[in-house]
Amino acid sequence: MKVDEWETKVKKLVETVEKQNAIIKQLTRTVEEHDVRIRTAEDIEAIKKVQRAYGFYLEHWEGQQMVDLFSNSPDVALDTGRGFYAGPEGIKQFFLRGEIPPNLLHGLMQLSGIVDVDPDGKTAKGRWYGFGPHAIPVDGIRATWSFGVYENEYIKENGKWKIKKLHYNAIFSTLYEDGWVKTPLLPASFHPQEEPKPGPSTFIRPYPYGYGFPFHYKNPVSGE
Amino acid sequence: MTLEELEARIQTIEDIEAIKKLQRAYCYYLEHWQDEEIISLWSQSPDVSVEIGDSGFYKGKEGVIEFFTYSSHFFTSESKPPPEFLHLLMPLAGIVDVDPDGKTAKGRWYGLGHMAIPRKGKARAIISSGIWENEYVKEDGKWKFKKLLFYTIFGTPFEDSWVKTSHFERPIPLAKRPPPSAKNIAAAYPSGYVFPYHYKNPVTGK
Repeated sequence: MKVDEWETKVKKLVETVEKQNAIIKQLTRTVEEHDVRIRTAEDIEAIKKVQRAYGFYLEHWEGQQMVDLFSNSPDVALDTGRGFYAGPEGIKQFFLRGEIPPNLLHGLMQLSGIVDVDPDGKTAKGRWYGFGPHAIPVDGIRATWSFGVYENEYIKENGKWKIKKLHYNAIFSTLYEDGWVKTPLLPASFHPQEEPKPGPSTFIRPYPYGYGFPFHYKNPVSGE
Repeated sequence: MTLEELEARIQTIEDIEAIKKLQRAYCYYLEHWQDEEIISLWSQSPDVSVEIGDSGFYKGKEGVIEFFTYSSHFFTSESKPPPEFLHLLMPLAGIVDVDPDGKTAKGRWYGLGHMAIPRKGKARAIISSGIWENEYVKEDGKWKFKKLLFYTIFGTPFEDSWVKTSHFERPIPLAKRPPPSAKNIAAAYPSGYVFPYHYKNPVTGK
């Protein structure tokens, strides 16, 4: 074989290797992109599990289990519409209540969740309906309906999603026999420790508020 | 990150969605007690079982068929429910966990529904709430029910409330049913009973 024939051969070989390298690069990028997209889907499911687990723990007020779902960050907060509880100590104050009577029924089903993970994959927001048949201490024990909307924030720490901010706006909390038009919001009957005094709630508009709880997301179609 | 690992993660996401579809499909069939459709959702495994509230523990494929077949469930000669029959029970707030081998899974759901169960020719409005802890199995690429366990929190006449009447007088003669399992499955409101979770606390793992 002549030298120029060798040159042609080597050139072709180099071209082939370069083409293959480009394909490998493209495939690697595709795998990395898929990794991120799958991660987002996994994150959304993990956050939904945390939120729904919270709703199941509410049923018999498993206080410590609920406290454990929150981050330990000093920024954690809980706004129940009846009070604002700041920091890990505030979270404990609200949830740790001592003995719970067996006839308390306080499950709030966590429904219709819209969860959006922020682009950095470290924080997320979620809007949920909370709805449940309750039995709470009002003149003895009474059957009530509770319905409200959450706008929550979540944070990923050491690979686990936790609640950072939980904000509940009650639409109604009413006696079974009354209905939400007659009695939109019963007085808080199942009290947390009131010392230290919680801060004022940032938002509480029960029925008939006429205007909804602000959304963390834009209209998914128009983007506005 | 290998392609195989990515595929396994996508598979889990697809499995969770498929199991949620199975659970919801079951409940849509339950609305008018479409017994043949319900029975078809079950695994062929001899380990299958179904237990709903205080209705007794039914095991094996034969038990599942006996429990869900309309005539044997309601002890009637009719093969289909009358038009006024309504057994609406929505499966809500589902937490589904696929086991590491990808072949079995567990799910916890709230059930809430409005029912009308005819009794002595007269339908009565009932509101019912409970929790499922179910097991699912994948057979030939399809997810099916393996074990269905429903803890009834209350089943109450609409005119009352769960505080006044937590369990309505059932149209089903319980004496003719098998005994319940050892679990406190019949512990309705106001027992304070926490129906055991299949999962650990998602943050602490405890």
